[in-house]
Amino acid sequence: MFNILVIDDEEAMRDSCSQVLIKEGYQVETAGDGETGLQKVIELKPDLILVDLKMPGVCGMEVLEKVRDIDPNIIAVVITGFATIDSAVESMKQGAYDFLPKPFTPDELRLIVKRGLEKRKLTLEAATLREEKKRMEENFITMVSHELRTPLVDIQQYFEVILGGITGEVAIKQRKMLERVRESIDALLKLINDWLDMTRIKAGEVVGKFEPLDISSILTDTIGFMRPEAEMKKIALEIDVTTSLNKVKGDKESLKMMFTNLISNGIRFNHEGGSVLIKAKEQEDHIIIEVSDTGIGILKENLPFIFDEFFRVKSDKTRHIDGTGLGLSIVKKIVEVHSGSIKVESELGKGSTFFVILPKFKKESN
Amino acid sequence: MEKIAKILIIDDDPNFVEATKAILENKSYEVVAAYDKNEGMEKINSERPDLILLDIMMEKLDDGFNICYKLKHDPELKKIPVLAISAITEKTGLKFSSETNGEYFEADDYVEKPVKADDLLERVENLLKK
Repeated sequence: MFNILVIDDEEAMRDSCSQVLIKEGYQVETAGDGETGLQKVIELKPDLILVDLKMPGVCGMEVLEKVRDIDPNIIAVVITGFATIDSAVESMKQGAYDFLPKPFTPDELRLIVKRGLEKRKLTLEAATLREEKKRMEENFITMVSHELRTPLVDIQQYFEVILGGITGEVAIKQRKMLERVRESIDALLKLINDWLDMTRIKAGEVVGKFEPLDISSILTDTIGFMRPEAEMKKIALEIDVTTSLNKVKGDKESLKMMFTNLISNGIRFNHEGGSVLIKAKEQEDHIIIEVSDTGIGILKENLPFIFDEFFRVKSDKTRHIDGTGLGLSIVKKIVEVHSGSIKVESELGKGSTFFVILPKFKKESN
Repeated sequence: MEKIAKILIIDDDPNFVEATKAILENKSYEVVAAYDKNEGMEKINSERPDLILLDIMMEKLDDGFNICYKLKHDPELKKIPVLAISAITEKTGLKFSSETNGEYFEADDYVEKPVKADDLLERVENLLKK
């Protein structure tokens, strides 16, 4: 059922409009001045308002202007005793839908309200459709990645069966080749995952989930998660984090992803027996997190490009390290959505240190 | 000799079903399959499986969620353990669940596709023990 609000200082006008409209089956409320009217607009969220232009206090024109700020989709019909072209034009400029000069008949009122409400219905339907389209566009990323992944997942699942010997013995030479294929498919799957993460961060999806977070516990979790990989590559993971660090406002999952990528790089671009050290400290308004490794380091010429999408350093040292070339671009995007910055210092053959600088969370700024 | 456990796979991807079926049958499980939401609900009732492997994204993004929601709110069927499997990441999965029906996905366990044979068998065994 539609809600209508009549704002008029004349009691007789309010009553007669109400009577006509209630008979039509509408829910009708009234207000005797502009201020009460605006209050009721906020409380009742009417579909349509009838506003007298000339009222003491907050006048009709002002009501129109404020209603437009509250909800531009509310249909406003102006009533006035001194119908001039000028006041009609002026009220239309303020967003009025139509104009009803006094005196008017019940039929004229019924017709104008009916047309106004038809427009309201169409506007609301259009808004719903837009909302639905937006939701579909958001899901699009997930749909596409699902479609891309499905055939690869099938291949991997068949490899599990074939290489698992379930369908019979596989000859050594065949097994070797099939394992290569499996690795390539794995790399492609990883690429799709990274691309999906990247697209999500770009689409600003993570910002909606911001909350005050304890960086030291995020780092401890991430390091725990990375430990098996480090042990496999015989790399020591060391942590030096003050536990009483100021909180940071952010998205937990994406911050974990960022540190995972940095630590994973530290492990993969390292020498057997090397180490990765993770430090975190406060400095003025910031929290600085350092991830340093004793790895192969980055050539000075390459430093400006390492955060670029799909950039990978090509040398005999990196040839056998797999990766998608998206890891550091994801890191940079995550740092940026957290209003932070990232720096790197590196020496070829000695190792690299990445500094992530994030703003401290302050209660009053929230 | 123990009774052979019956596993129902609900997944719209016939290749994934075939490969997964082979892994499970190799360990002497009895495996039945359903390829969409409706067939899934039918077979749950007619086959009364001991365990369900459930794909989350089938024809619609949230088909799997809806099946799981129905199962876990049914006094009789909620005892059947559900192992949710999907090619989408856990994060996205949970997000879809809470946005579509305000309820978290209530599967008993969760794995991402592709599933390693050993991992799958271990999870299935654990769920059947419960």
